[in-house]
Amino acid sequence: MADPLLTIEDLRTHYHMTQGTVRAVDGASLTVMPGQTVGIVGESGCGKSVMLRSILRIVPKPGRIEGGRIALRREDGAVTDLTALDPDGREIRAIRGAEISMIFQEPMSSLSPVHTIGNQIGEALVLHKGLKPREARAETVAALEHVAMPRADRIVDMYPHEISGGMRQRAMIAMALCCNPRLLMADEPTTALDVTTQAQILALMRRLQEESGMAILFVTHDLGVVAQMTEFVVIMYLGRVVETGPVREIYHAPKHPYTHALLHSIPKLGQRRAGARLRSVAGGLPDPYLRQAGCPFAPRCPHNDGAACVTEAPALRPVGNGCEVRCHHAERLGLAGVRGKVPA
Amino acid sequence: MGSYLVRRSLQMVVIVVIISMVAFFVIQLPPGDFVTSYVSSIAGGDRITQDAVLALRQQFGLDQPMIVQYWRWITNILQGNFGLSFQHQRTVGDLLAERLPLTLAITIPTTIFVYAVAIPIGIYSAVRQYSVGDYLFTFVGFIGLAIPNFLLGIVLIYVSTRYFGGNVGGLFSPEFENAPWSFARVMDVSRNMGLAILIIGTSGTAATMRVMRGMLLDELSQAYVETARAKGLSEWRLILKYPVRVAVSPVLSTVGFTLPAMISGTEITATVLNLPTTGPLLLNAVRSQDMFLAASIILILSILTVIGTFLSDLLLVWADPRIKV
Ligand SMILES: Nc1ncnc2c1ncn2[C@@H]1O[C@H](COP(=O)(O)OP(=O)(O)OP(=O)(O)O)[C@@H](O)[C@H]1O
Ligand SMILES: [Mg+2]
Repeated sequence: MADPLLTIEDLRTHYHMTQGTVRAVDGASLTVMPGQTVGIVGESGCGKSVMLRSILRIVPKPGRIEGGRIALRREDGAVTDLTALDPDGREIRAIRGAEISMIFQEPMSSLSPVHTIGNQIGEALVLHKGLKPREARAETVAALEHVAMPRADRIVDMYPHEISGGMRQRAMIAMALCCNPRLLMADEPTTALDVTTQAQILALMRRLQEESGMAILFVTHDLGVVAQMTEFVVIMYLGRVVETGPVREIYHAPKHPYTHALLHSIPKLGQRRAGARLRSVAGGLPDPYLRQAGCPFAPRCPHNDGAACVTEAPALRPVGNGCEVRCHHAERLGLAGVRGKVPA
Repeated sequence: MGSYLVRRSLQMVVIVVIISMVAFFVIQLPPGDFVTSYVSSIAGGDRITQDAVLALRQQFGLDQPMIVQYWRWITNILQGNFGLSFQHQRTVGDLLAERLPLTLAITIPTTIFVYAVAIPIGIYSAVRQYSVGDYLFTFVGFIGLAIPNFLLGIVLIYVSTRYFGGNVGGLFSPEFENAPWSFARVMDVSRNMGLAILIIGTSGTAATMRVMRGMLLDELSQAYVETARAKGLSEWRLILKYPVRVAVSPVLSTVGFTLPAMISGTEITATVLNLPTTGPLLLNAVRSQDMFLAASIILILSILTVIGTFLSDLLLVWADPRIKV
């Protein structure tokens, strides 16, 4: 087996506020292989975005990485621990946008309203490839054409408000990919788009990945999109990874009660709207400032045994078929998966 | 764009005409006119006959209906004749030619001073929100806002005469008042001007600094800033290129309003500092009902305001591609 591109081990990113500490990411681990697409799924507030920001070291104050390791395998085979870098330093800045790129959820507000598309994309080329502004312009047009932007030579001089949401997201993708990153992180890249545009953007991302062989970390609320886009899924709950495995395993034979609840909260086919959030799992998220002993999901779990579940926090452990689960009773529950919903 | 310019120009003409009327009529609202206040000022010994008063009124055209007076005044102005200042017994044009250049010579550097100081401080305060420096500038800023400029002038005059034996007030120190131009005289003028700029510009600087800080704080949390960061730009470079660029254009575009505000808003300070600008001239003209002088100054200020606003709008349109004209 090849060496992993990115390995996150026991990452903890906390927000220290006057009201207390929010453990946004609290001991998360995952692995991304070169060229692999990994989906990250979880309810709103479970720490998906904070985890991606931690990787790039752009967690805004008062957030701080408290512990763990983020190991990135560089082009030359060396391994760099990103948590050890100075977040304002030269080294991490050379990685951002060049080796690891990120696209964000809101295509409108993610681009500067007062700079042209070409200016914002070309800047990355000047920064990482050392191009001259004139060369960067030609490259930018090529990058836009690469993401199937219609009339790329005109769009390059336009402002974000002059083009549609789908085109803006294409421009964002062009910006993220113009320096050929080995890892693309997409934080709900299609949530704000209508169904048709969403399908186009997803198809585009799949095509680009096949061409370039980059790895993708894909954050979404939409389990349908996960099935469509990814091979491997990471389910997060309250800052932790509760289950990981190949898409089919997760869908057909979930081992964690939370995954089970998520799967069965997908609205029936045909009722799905673009950007529809997950129908909430029974019970609400607990107070983010509080952390009780035992399994974090225990208060909402129908299989709570009242003993080990409330006294002892389960560890993430392998359960076969490439899956790992953080549940004391994973093997005994025999949870039902969903049938026929995973596209072949 | 062309039709926008035409539309705005017509609008500006209409506004100036309305302001000229308001200025002319409002100046004459107080009971009596220049002749009454003139007569009462010289009525000490000699008795002035009713006939003499009437003759004076006739001489100045004050016996005509207001509309006629206005029409005569405004048509004369269109021919470059601003009328006569009763009080100074000189043409208003002469007085303005003397005062306006000096006024601009103080106002324009003050405006530059205000922005050059306030914008960098505002940026620093926003980027380093809640740092010691931010608290310090906030504190100094509130003091600058709270103290009236003229009071600051008085304090500075006191301090400088008491402890430095210097002389503040006026543009020239006494020994240079009538001296020919020399290096020393230039230094003297710059020193006095520097103080005047400092005093007149303080509250504007404090206000602009707060506005800049607030605007930038709003922008710093925008998603496009994070995009730029994720691209690998260094922190200061991305801050200056993106959020500062967005935040600064509305701040800079107020430059058009500050010009007239500084000319008309500084009468008291200019009087205290004994500066030969239009401010004190206007104040005196209004008090002694020197109507042609007062109305002319107000008219010129309003024209400056209207032009300033127009320039501000153009600046905004140029700076923000989202604004359609
Ligand atoms: N700037 C911040 N200050 C304080 N807490 C924060 C901040 N940003 C995020 N958090 C907390 O971190 C936790 C995780 O947030 P995060 O944005 O990663 O969630 P998410 O999984 O991406 O949710 P969503 O699906 O809604 O995007 C949340 O509980 C949130 O309250
Ligand atoms: Mg998020």
